[in-house]
Amino acid sequence: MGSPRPWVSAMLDVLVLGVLRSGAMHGYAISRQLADAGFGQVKGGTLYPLLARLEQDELVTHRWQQGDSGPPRKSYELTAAGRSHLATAAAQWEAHAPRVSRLLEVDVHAGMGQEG
Amino acid sequence: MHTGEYLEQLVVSLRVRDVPADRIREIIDELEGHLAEAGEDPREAFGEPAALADSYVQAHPVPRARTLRGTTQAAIAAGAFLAPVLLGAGIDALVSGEPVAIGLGHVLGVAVVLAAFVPAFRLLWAFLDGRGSRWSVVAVFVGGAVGGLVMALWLTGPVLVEVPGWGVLTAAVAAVATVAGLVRSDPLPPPGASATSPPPASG
Repeated sequence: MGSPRPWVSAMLDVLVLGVLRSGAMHGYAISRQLADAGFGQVKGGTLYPLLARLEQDELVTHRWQQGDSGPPRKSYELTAAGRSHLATAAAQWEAHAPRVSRLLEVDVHAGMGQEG
Repeated sequence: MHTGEYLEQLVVSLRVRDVPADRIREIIDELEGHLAEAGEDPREAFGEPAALADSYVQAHPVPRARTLRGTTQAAIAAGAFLAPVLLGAGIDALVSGEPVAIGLGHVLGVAVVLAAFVPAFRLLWAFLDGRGSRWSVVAVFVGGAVGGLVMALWLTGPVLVEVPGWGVLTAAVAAVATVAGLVRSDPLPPPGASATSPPPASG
């Protein structure tokens, strides 16, 4: 089961930074990695402006790579600020996710109890 | 919509939003690379060009100093409209030896042209952005220009001031200089130019 789209949208900037942790890559490769990881198809119309914003915020930087054939590709990589932002987000998620899980579990059981 | 057609419309939509040409080239080169690899339909992948341009501007705002305000656009158009009129009147005055009598009709005519050109430019920008009708643009531009001319030529009124021919010619030159000063030349770099530009400072 893929992640719900609203959740992906809400976290997309952190997810993109997470993908770039493994190394520099261009936009299409980032969208494929996200799809392979179960986050669904992120449209270019969403991804590229987001990359522009991350670059504007100095969390990523880019370099152009001239391929053997076809147009040059713009490849993104994390900056030091991007790594630091990602580490903070990871720590926040680690604290947040169990709280959500606990709450949902309680609610689910409470709901089932009321029904039964 | 073909890739070329889509990217051309995106260039116009980014131009309308005053995005610098080198930044536009970078965006187009990047999206072209994406489409070449993904083989997707551009509209399917990126949505409407105007909406995509909005997203880019939101993500990477254009410096306010770059944006052409409506009044600046109207000043450019009014200068371009007035320069030949003033040039003709000035030459005529020099040849005949009579000064140019500027009356109330002339002043009102110029006011009508300016008042029409501000909304006309808004309509033109919206049309170039893929919204609105070309005929509304033509109607407001032509209506404003013709209305102003008719008012200037036919409305009788008191002569406010008489200007010698050389004075009118000087005003014509000033109008040309104003237009030249306000119009900004920012040609789009050739395809692939982004790859050869220096990389940004790393954070």
